[in-house]
Amino acid sequence: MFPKKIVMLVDDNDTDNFIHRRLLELTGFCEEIVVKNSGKLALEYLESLIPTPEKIPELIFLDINMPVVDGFVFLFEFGAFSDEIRNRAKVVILTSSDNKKDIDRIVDNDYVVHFITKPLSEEAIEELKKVL
Amino acid sequence: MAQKLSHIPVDVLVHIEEHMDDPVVLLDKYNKVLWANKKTHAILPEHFFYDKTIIDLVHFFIEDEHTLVQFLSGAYQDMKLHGPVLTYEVKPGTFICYKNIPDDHKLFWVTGLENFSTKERLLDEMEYKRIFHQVFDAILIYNSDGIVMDVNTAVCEMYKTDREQFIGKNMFSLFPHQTITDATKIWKDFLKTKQIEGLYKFKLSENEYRYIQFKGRADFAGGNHLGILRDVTNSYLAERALKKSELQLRTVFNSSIYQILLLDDDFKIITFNQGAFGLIYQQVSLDFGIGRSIWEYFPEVFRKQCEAHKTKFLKGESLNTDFYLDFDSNQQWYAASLVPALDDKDELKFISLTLHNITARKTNEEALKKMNFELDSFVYRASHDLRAPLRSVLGLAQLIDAENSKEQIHKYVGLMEKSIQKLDSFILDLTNFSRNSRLDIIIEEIDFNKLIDEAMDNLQFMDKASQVKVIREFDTGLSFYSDQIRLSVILQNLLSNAFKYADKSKTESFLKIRISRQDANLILEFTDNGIGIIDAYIDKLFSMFFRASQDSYGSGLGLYITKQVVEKLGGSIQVKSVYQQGTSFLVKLPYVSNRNL
Repeated sequence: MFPKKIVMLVDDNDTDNFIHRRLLELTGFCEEIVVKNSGKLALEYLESLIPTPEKIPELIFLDINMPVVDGFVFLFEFGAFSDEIRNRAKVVILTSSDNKKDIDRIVDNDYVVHFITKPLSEEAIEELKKVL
Repeated sequence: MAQKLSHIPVDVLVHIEEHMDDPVVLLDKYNKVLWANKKTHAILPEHFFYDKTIIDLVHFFIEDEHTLVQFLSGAYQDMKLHGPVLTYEVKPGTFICYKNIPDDHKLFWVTGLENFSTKERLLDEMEYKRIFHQVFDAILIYNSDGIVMDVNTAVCEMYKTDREQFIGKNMFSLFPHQTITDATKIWKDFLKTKQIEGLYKFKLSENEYRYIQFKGRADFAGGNHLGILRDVTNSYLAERALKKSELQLRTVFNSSIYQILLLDDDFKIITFNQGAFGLIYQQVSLDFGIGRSIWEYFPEVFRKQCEAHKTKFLKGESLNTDFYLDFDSNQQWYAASLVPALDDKDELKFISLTLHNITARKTNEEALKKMNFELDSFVYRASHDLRAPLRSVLGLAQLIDAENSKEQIHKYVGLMEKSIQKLDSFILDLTNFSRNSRLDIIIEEIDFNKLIDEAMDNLQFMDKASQVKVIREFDTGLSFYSDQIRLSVILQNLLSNAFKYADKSKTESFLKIRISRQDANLILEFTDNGIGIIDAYIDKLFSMFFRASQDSYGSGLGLYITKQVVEKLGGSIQVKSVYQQGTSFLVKLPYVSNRNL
């Protein structure tokens, strides 16, 4: 169902956040974009939405390599949220890593629905739409 | 008469006439006289012996009635055999002799004492000589002056020379390798103890020596002494070779740098070398020795492996494994090689256990594993950090393609520059890292003001660089020598950290650089009022790729490299920080005031 209502970008690289936000706007992928430049801030944001589940992003673009709370830690913490949140928010990995170990670890995760190598492009968004 | 003598060869009778001085008669098988020689004719009238028997003759010689009766009643039994001749002493000094000759004829003669004993001795000597030369043992006869009287054929064969070469010489000439002193002593001992026993060596030819065992006994042959020589060269050389090879093996065994133990099939110690003694007795247990089970000293894990291999030992298969021994403060690794020795019937005789301390190898292996792991993670992180800014640039290029607004495009180009700067600084970090480990240290006098100026110049494009006030406090009269390139790496990293983590919420951000000398050290203190570091991250701060801050955009290499460089210069780095108040780095370098130091 497109456009999506709310989408969240989680990446410590502000340049990439800017690029990805702009591209999502240009392609009309969603109505609203929330940007968090650390895993910790993203988790805190999700926690703040517990009283208002309708505001929970339907899709989370998640980078892997981030200081302190990286993609893996984020997913681990994400697993502790309620079913409601976990069922609503799907996770797409968006990373510049194409390390096989990383991909294997991520693909095994229940909440991850797709894997994209940076940067996000129109073609990648089309691909993603097919999966969702 | 001639007829009666028909089958007696005339030459025998002629021989008797020529060689026998005694009266001799020839008897037929009935002991009747057939013939008598001239001597008989000279002492007896013819009628006295012709057609008479031996009894009549004996009667003539034995005048004493009693003796005659004795002789007649048992003479033949009393007659002594001297070779083929029977003799009887009819009166002191007078012997009658009786000898069988072919065709049942006999010779009978009477002889005096002198003649008889010469004959008897001649007969004895002949017999003795026959035996002397025919025995296999080499026999030497010598007199009480040590002079060789005779040697037998075996001696001549042994020495490959003639009998004449020995006779009349000093017996010690048979053993030329004896010194005169030795010979004199041996001879004295012999005279005292009546025996000699020894091993002697003589040179048979240019390259051939013989080893002779000599045993001598006194008073054997009529005042002479008898010795037996035995050629023991082969067994002597074999024994000597065996002893030599045993000694060689023992030497190798003991001088081996390895610890070697020979074990029976129950892993009990049969023997051990010096190395094994050094290891077990000196380091494991004083209660060590032959017959003990090695499991008193070695760990259970090793035992299980050996027990499990037991049937394979019986088939001759060896076992290679390793285990460690725990000594007071350290662990020593040993490579163990167990090799079974089977005899020609394929039965297990013993197992040799060779131990070799491989602690150094194990340590290196561990270090190598760690290095490989570090290298792996380094490549992983480095490749990510090199790609990330490039992927950003790629994303921006794609956006520009889809963008119409000139203003937006301008912004994208600005972001591209930022990504490129980031990539560049990461590559610089990598270069610094590699240089530090690779390049030699070059000592020059350091101008701190100049180095700080240069570092700030390089960092001027950083976001907050211009907002942080850099305060310099240097001791006067510092004359410090160090490696300029490495020192600028330290300064640049610590400056850039202060800029990156400046606290925007504070009205004035500062970094105070204080350089002073404390005894043998140069102290560089970098104190800022930045965002600070929470306690939990302090320990990991200098780890490779560690980024403590959510706001960190760095490579995670900066402080890691700084620490490596400081340590390369023989110094140390410490950090103190209070979260939200500020951070202080303390770098301590050995104070070098002369370029030659």
